Amino acid sequence: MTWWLGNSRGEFSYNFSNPIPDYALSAGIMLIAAIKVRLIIWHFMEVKEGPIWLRWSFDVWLCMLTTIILGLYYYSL
Amino acid sequence: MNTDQMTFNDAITNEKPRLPGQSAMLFFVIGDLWIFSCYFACYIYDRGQNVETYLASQQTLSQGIGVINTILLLTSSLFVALSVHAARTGSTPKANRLLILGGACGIGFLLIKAVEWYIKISSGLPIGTGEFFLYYFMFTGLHFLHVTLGLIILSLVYHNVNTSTNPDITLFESGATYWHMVDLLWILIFALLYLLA
Repeated sequence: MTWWLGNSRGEFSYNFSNPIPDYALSAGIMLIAAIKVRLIIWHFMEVKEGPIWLRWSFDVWLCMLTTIILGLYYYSL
Repeated sequence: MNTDQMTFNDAITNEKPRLPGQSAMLFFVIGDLWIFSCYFACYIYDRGQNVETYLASQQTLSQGIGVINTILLLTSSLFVALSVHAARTGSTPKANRLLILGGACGIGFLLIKAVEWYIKISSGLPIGTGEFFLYYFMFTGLHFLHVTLGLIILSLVYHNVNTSTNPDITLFESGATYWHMVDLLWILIFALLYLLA
């Protein structure tokens, strides 16, 4: 899905009757990437079975990373 | 016994919250993720100063290769996660097979990445051409080193499982945790370098 969203200029590009603006595409790409990362941390790394400080450590990191990336992205618009 | 160590049988019966691997490995992983986050923030900031040039350079990357590499690493992570599960239930041969499959996907990732670099450099693109490609080679190069180290760690885990009479599940989990970190870093690099609009 991330790939599909990010393909507006790629070699497998799609056509929308009303193109999605770049800032919305980028937000979608980053949010889907963050969800995938969270799923890997939670299920593959098995952090869901860990103590609360471990779960919070990863969640705080992921929230801050997503916020900083999107914040810097929109700041530069 | 070290408090970080747990045998396969202990892992099956222990239902309390537990660390998935050695605490040292978990601290290393969290620290590494924060370091990469600083690099990502620098990249997004610099990209914002010169969006058009970055986008033009970004379009020369093959998203198809990026997708294949993403699928390879995600599949590899799945194999390693299933391998840990198999090891916990005492099915060592199955755990070995899954571990080998996970490692094979990792080697496939490295080969495809090397081909991608070769195509880029042989098409007349020196490594220092433009800020975007400095970031591209830095991120993918650092990640390449992480994948290589991950394969070495998985080899050590494989060796431990096959030579020890009482294999250490915590070592197995630690190796898997590192490998999953390599996977999630690639997902972020793929989104930032290949897809961001």
